[in-house]
Amino acid sequence: MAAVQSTGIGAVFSREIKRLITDPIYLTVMMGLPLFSFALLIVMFYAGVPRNIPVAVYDSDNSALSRRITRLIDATPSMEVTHKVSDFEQGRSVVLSGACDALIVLPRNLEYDVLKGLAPAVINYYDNLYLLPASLIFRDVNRVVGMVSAGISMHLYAARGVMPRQAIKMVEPVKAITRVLFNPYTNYIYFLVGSLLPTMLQIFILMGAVYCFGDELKRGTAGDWLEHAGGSTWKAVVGKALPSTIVFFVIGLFMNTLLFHFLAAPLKGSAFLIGLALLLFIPAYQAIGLLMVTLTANMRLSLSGAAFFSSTAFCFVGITFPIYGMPLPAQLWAGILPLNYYLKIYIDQSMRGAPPLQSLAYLGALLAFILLFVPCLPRLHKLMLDERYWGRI
Amino acid sequence: MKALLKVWAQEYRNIFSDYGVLLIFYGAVLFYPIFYPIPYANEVLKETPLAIVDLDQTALSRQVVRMLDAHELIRVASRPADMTQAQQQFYERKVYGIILVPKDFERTILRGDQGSIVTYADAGYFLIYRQVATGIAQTLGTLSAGIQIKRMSAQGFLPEQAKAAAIPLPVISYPLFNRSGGYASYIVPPVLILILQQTLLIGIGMLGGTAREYASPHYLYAARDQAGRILPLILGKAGAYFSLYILHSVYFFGVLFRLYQYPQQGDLLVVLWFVLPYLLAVIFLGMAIASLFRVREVAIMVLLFSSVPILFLSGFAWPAGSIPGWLFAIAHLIPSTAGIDGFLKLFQMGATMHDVLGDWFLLWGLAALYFILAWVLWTRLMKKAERAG
Repeated sequence: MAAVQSTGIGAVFSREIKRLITDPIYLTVMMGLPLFSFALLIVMFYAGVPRNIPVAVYDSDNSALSRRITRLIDATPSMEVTHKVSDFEQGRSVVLSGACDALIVLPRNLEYDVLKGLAPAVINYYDNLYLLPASLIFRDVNRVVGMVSAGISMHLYAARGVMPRQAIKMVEPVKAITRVLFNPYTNYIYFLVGSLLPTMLQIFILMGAVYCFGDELKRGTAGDWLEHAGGSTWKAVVGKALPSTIVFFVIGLFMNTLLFHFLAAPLKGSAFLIGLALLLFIPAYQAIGLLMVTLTANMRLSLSGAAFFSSTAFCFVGITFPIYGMPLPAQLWAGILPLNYYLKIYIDQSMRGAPPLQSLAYLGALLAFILLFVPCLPRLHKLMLDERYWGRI
Repeated sequence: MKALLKVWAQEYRNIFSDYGVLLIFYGAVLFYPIFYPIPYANEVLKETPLAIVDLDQTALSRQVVRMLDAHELIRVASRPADMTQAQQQFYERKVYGIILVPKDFERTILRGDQGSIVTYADAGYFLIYRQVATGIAQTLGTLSAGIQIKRMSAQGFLPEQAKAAAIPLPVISYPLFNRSGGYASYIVPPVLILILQQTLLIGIGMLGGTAREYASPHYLYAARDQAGRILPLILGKAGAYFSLYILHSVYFFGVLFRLYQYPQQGDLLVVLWFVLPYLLAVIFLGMAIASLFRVREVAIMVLLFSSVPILFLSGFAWPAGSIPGWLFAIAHLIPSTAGIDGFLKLFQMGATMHDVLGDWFLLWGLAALYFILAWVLWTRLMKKAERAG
């Protein structure tokens, strides 16, 4: 091996650039796949709120009232009556086949019984395996029928001589007003896509970091790496990590451009804080990657660990199922995921417009992850010099 | 046939001598299903903390607070003096919604007028929003109905009449298949199906990549014996993978499902009959992809990320109708799309094999397609290797 001309962070940096350019894995994992996954998720969720979920109606009354209910259900943005079935069995099979997500039964003599004051029920059988459509169907069937019901109430009062103005107060003595604080359009795209894209990114950052550090041991080039750093382990680590940090930061900025400009996600707080969080988020995962490689001194173990750590992260960060509803071990695990802190800053600063002070603690947590690289250094130094640790796949 | 068995046995040796592969085929398959459901162990999200700003401070407003606190989905975690303070607690994530009881609430109601209660909810976290909205709507509905019936009695209605006239057209909701609406019962079963696919793809890719990287001849082992016949090679390897994964399937659907007490209606044997083409499609897809990998790490690096998009693409977590049609069509090239759909119907919705024949035939079609693809790619690979030496 030729003697190394200059040493230090700069030398390791340019050595790393050469490695990045010549190994197609880096380019794929650092640029190709992140961009591909962003595009895929954006295309998938572009429609925003689910609309026109197919439902079946079994109308055995066939009266003016039952037809009106069917029309109103069809008119909701969330549902579309795609099947009008003529018996219960048929309704059951459309739901089972997956053609419809609900079967709404309007029983015989519905109109007659309502007017007689017998309070017959509309029955909503909905497929609760798929929670998202289920919750929309539940909400809107109740709303539509509740509206019709309130209208009938008014009629019944009028029949007994109650004045309309008085009747309104009787039908709904306490009005429940809901103001949506954030995300007024209840559009999931900002929330879901805004969390999923960084989730994708952390997978690539961590896997990339483990691969780039682990590869030096696997290929037995760790000695050369240290030599370029002039024997200084921290310089070796910083110089090697920096090119990936820069590339991922650019990718991350592009990700946020997509979110805020292309998808027009709200930005009520500080864009600077989100950028700063991104800048800490990347080395936080690189430090964890380094920690894994240093602890295991083994590519396949650390790669499996990284895969596990990054691919399960999304379930623990509280986006789908909130953290306070989880058992304590899961809450603790959420605490060691940098993604958790990054997403809190993202949500605070984009959708909530929280005071900047609110995000400082989360930024501090991200910084703490970066400092994990310090305790790695002594053992890493040993690994870099000891050939027994090289060549392990 | 002899060559096939030889490859089969050799593939067992390759698998069991490579603990990186074992980590995927056994470590991940055994550990993920235990770790993954932990966050959802409580199944239903209850007791979401709320702040109540009570500007009325009357007997009725205090009753409202008590009623809200008593609802299982929500909990009154704080009673700040004003909205500013409430908002602060919201930003600190101490509460996830704010309820405002306006001044003169009780007086308005006693006067016989319409009072109002305002909820400020965060619609970002959709599950929280749903629980908060449901809890508050049900509580206020009860409150409202009570007042209504009182007012009607004052108008001369009999109690029974008053009830019927208050809600002349009620709705009865029957949630099907996942009656409790448990979150783990919702998300874990399809993820188990996905785990079978992803670990198979990564493991097979890793074996293939290792063989290429270290120029080990075992990939082309039997093929050379058989003067260029690639069939025993593909089928032998597939047999090895299949035998491992059919056992995993029994463990997942026979053991884990009972352990976790997920809603389950189908018969295990029927489910395995459905899983058969699913595993074959995944295995042949894995073998086709593996022929593209030159280094062992590529498999995990390239395939890992796909789990999240694939889960959403399967039309499960995100309604199929909201995914662009062309994308959903392409998604059917991934075995898990039909696999998850058919499995949920068969095992959780209590459908018969007849109801899922579409998915089942699609999976056989994919198995055939990927078998041919693997054949073509491996033949090419072998010719290249022969030319090289």
